[in-house]
Amino acid sequence: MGKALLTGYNALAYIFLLAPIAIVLVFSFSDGAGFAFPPSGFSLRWFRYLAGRDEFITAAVVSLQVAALASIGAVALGTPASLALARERFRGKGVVEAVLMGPLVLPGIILGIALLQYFTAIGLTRSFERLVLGHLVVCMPYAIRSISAGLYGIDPSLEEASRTLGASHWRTLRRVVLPQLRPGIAAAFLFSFITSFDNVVISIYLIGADTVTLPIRILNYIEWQFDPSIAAISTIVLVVTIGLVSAAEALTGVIRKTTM
Amino acid sequence: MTTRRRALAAYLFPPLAVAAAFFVIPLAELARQSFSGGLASYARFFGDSYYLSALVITLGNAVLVTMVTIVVSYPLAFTYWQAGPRRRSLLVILLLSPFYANVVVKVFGWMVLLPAGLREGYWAILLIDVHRAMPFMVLMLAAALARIEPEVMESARMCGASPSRVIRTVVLPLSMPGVVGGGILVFSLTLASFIVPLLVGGAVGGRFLAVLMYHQITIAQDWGFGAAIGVVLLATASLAIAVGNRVVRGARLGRVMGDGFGG
Repeated sequence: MGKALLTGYNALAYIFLLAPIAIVLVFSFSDGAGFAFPPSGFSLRWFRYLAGRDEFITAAVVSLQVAALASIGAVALGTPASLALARERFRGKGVVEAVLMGPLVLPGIILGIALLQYFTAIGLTRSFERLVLGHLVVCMPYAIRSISAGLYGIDPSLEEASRTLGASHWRTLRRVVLPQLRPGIAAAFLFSFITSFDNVVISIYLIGADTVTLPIRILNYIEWQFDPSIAAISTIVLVVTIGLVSAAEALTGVIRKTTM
Repeated sequence: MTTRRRALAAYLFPPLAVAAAFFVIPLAELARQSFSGGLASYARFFGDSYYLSALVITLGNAVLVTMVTIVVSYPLAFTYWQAGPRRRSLLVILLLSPFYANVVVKVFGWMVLLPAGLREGYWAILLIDVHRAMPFMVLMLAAALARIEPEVMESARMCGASPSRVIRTVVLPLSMPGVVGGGILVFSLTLASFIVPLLVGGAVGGRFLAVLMYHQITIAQDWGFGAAIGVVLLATASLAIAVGNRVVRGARLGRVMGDGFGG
């Protein structure tokens, strides 16, 4: 009796969790102009419609460029940071960790407004640079977390052996550590990319008139119009995100390690 | 050894420089900006019932969302914990899909689902905030449940406790760190909730601190006051985290020992 109740509740709760995503997927393939359920038929008209809308195409390009640059930066800076944090003991490590991982716990809107005021004060006016730097700071902790997880999975005795055999610190790094760290670095890149691609609350403060990211473009569109083209663009965003998460998961199982 | 020291400095300098330049200094500047007119911005905030009630609305919503999320997530975490490995990997996919879906996409999905009369206003905010928070909460609770040693439950059962009594006197108290930990996470996440009140909040949505701050910057262009609202928001969230951490520490030793073994 209690068990049946629990199962029933679980089914309802998962329907609740998935319903808003499922409805978006369904209507992106509808052939009507409204949201009457069930949709009258299947079509790709909303995807074709998107292909002709420049504002979505340029926003997608901006999002991809910003995500790529921020992720490359996050990995380039996060890899040495992880090597120091995961392998070395030093004074002030707690402070270093707090500074590097801080953006993870700080509400994004606070960092967004802080960066807007700061960039304006120092005269950095171009939105594209603002977006890349802002995203870089929020991506770095995710990169450090993935790479550190990878480092903890590598046996340190291999490095010791390499050094004992006479290899220098840098040679050991290049020949022993980095090759083993490749999946962790790849996962770090993917998680950084998702974090940037997904960001709304920092971007909303840093975008410019002609430099808008895709989530912000969707947000602005929803405020004025309400048609299935948004479902279609949302489906594309969902597919990109879920695809990247699955790839990262396949590489390392980071989700299982870090969230459970 | 010196190479090692030098390597450490070389490893840490670039990431720390970036974090200092684009995280620490901007935050310090934000705090400074909020005091640009002395205490005027804060006096305006705490002296005006409009802004004070906005603080109450934002806090009240965060408390309500946290409590509702704990209650509706607990059974899911319990089922997840009891499930075998194959079932679990299915459930984790179901949980992570809404977790990773973009917040704008989620809000849009709810706008399509909700009937016109419910699409805007406080109930829409509550519903969508809970929806956003649930995957976090389920995973945090499941992690706490996973730390319960099976022997503890086994011995309770062997002493003759009924299943519901085992849940009440062993499982629930031992999962308290997860309840509080997940609660803090959800509370601070919801306190900063911005997109949801902005898009579906209607008139009451404009009273949420994050939205108020955004409007101060973009419409009123009052940067000092916007910064002060940001500092109030950040201070509230930090206080909640500090208090919550104390509770977790207390819960682990006091409550768990008392209820779990005494009863």
